[in-house]
Amino acid sequence: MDLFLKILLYINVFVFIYFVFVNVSYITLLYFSYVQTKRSRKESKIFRLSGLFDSRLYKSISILAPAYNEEESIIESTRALLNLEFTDYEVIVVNDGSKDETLAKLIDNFKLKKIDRYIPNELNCEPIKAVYGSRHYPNLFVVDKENGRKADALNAGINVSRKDLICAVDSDTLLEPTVLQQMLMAFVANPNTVAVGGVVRVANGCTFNLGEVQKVNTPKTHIARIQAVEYLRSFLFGRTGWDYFDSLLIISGAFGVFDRESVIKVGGYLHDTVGEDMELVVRLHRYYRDRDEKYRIRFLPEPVCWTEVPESWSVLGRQRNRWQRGLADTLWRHRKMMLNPKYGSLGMLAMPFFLMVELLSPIIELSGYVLLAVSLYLGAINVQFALLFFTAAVLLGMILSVLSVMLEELTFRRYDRMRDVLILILYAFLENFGYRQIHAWWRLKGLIDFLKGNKSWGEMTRSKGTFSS
Amino acid sequence: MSKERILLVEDEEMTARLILYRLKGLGYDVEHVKDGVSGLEKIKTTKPDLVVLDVMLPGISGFEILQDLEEDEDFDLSLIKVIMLTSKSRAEDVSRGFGLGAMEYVPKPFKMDEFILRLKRVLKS
Amino acid sequence: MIDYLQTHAITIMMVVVLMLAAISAMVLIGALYSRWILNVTKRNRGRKKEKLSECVIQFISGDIEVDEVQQIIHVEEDYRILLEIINDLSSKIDGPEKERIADLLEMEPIKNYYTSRFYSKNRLEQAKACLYFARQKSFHYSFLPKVLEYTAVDYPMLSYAAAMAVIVHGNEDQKRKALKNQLLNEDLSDQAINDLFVEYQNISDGELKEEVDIIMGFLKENSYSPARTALLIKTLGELNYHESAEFLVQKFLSIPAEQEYPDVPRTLINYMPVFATSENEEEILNRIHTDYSVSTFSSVREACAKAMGMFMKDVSKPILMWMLYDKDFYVRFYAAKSLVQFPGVELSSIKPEDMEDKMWNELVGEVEMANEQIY
Repeated sequence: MDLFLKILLYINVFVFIYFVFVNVSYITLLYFSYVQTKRSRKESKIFRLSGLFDSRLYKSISILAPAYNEEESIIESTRALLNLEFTDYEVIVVNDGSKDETLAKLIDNFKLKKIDRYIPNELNCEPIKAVYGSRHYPNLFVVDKENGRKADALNAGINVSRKDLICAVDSDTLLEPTVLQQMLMAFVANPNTVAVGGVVRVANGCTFNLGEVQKVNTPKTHIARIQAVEYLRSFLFGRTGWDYFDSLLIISGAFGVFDRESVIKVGGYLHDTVGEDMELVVRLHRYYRDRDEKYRIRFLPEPVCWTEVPESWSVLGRQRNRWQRGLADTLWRHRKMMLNPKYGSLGMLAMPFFLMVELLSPIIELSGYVLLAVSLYLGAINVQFALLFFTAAVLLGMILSVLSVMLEELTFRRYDRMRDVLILILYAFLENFGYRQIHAWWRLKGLIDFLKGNKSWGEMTRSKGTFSS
Repeated sequence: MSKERILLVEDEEMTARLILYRLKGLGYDVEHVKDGVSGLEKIKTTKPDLVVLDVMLPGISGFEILQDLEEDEDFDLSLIKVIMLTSKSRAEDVSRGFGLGAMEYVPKPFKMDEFILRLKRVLKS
Repeated sequence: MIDYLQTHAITIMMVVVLMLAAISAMVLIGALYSRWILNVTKRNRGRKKEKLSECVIQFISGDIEVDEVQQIIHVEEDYRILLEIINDLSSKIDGPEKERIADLLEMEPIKNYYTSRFYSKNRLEQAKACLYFARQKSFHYSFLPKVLEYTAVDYPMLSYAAAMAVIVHGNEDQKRKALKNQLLNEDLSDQAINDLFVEYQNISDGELKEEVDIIMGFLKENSYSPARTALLIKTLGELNYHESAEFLVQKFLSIPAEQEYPDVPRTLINYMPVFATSENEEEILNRIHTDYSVSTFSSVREACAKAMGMFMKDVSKPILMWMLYDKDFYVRFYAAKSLVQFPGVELSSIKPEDMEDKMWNELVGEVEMANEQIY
């Protein structure tokens, strides 16, 4: 019995150390992200300053917007996409076999007609039924195809596209008008760039007008507020931090710009995975490193897109479940890169980190809590240790979240009102006290589902446009 | 002779200032709006003699404004003279502008003197 | 260790709680303070910017002079605002107004500001300074040697900015060296190099010959990558200068048929219709037919199809017809497009017998769409 208690104690210590490790490494990542953000802003300023960059003559972009049953918001989002500040770009809306009036609305509103457009079959996708264009909107194309889900729709869009770069967006993403110019800077700064990710911010609670964000406020619901802090921590600063190490593993499916040729070279998006956005990025890394060719994958903190985050616990749960499955799938597919020196900081730093901290953490965290309770009851540990545990698990996490808010204040400061900062700090506390644990539970289920072989996307319900003024 | 009324639809701050300064200095009655939607509205309500129209505007583009006016049955686009002033200057954009009814298409970067000359010419025609 | 931690557990926790409280307080206070400060400065800045904007507009219109503008500038922040305004304007206007802007940049404090940046250790700061020098009218030549050094660094923004400054202020030798360094820098984009050549031409009082000579000089050196060589050829081709015509034709006729990269032959072929004379036309077309229509690179074959359409010689017709079967779509497309340029050739009449209907319809559709006026 004594031995058993001793073992329990050691396991608890291990979990304790694990928590400390996770939180401290995130804080470290935050530091590097701060450095990188400062650097990035300086660079983008100098670009604007000079004739170093005339978008008129540089690269052209195809925006790919897959749409499935989006009749409510499709017109609005397409209009917004057509009105970006960029000279040479086209918008390709891919109607992925919608069962509602999405296509009809598009045809009617933009006066579309079927056109004969050659589509090379560079990437596999479900059959394309027709391509539509319009005299009035010469840079708008709509591809009507059989349903095949997002990755498939994107591949179809890539096939139809004729521009140098592709920009994959979600149907509920709102891009800021200068976003394309800003993303392009990364490609101009370094001709070897193959992919660039941008920031995704929480649109809930903000007011929009004429396709542009007018006021940036924190959302009104608890769940969205927590996500606002979360997005700052992991999507804004987390990713910038990885960019510092030149090992960006993931570019959001809501917003990313890729070199078209490169995407085709590696075979486009993968169909049978739910984490197709991350998988593509990792595959790009692998392709170029395998061949020892120069390449860059960047994350820019300036270009911003806004997206509506789920406001219902069940939808959010499904989303996180899906993300976890995607992560597991990608790491498993590319397990050869793990701890492989051939893949540099990607294989030696980023991937193990994601494995240990992102993927396995729900298991360790949740079982840690259970074990803690058991151990306390059995007397394997005492109250003092429980306090230490609490400190490492919750308090350190709070510090991490509050630091993210601080970084936001130091750099972009997009939230105008003092009230919003207060709310963010409050929810930075709350994020770690309840949400983090629930989140771990969702991710644990995701991991289990992955091991069971679940590949579904689940139903995503969309509320009426956040972006209507 | 009554002053000609000009409407400037331009969201770029300094460009707008410069044009306003010069045109006002020349004695024209100039109004200025900064986005497409207000621009469209102003054109319909005040019916200016001349519109200086940028293409890249928040809301709806200059091209869309012209399209809207063209399709509006209550509105006679031929009564309004339009000069397009914009950084969108590829051949397709230029022909699109003319096709939609613009009388002049001035690409940016532009020379102020030349712009004024063309503007005067359009007003006279 | 575990025991140590346990005995001090409460203290440790209190320390962490305190840190948390301290950080939160810092954020809150910082946020409050910065917002307050920001509001104040924003308002002031707004007013200053308003004033300065009007001032600048009057200045560039010739209604006031530099000292009047100088009068309302007091602190460093004012200079930053001024520079913002100048940058905003520079890209939108041209002509005498733009030159007046350059006068504004000569103000002593601005000059000093950038000069000090030139000596900083940070590459970006150095680049900014070089860009400023490039826009200056007068320039202290003692800077040139160092600026020239910077044109050879790897960091593209600095090398580009430095090259720009050298092109504006340096002598011929230095300009050549600066350009050469950029051509050798593979991290620099085509666009940047293009910009440099454009500036080079602007500076040489619009004398085409200068630019032509220097580019031909580079091409004769034969020491650049295929992509860069193609860029040089393209730049030369765009200039449309008679002397370069002969040079390019000779180059086209003399390069070996077997090429490792398509860039150079493709670019050369694009300009042959423009530069060919009645004397060498036949020879050129011959080479296109025999050596390049069968190239393994689709981009080269595509260029041939386009070129043949511009030469419009009957002898090309059978080759174009044969190209309709090419495995690459764009080759087929341009072949079809070129064929319909010939008088008397109708799309419907040239459908190859054994081509699938679907494939043919697609081709026809694309050609028609390309010919149609979309607006």
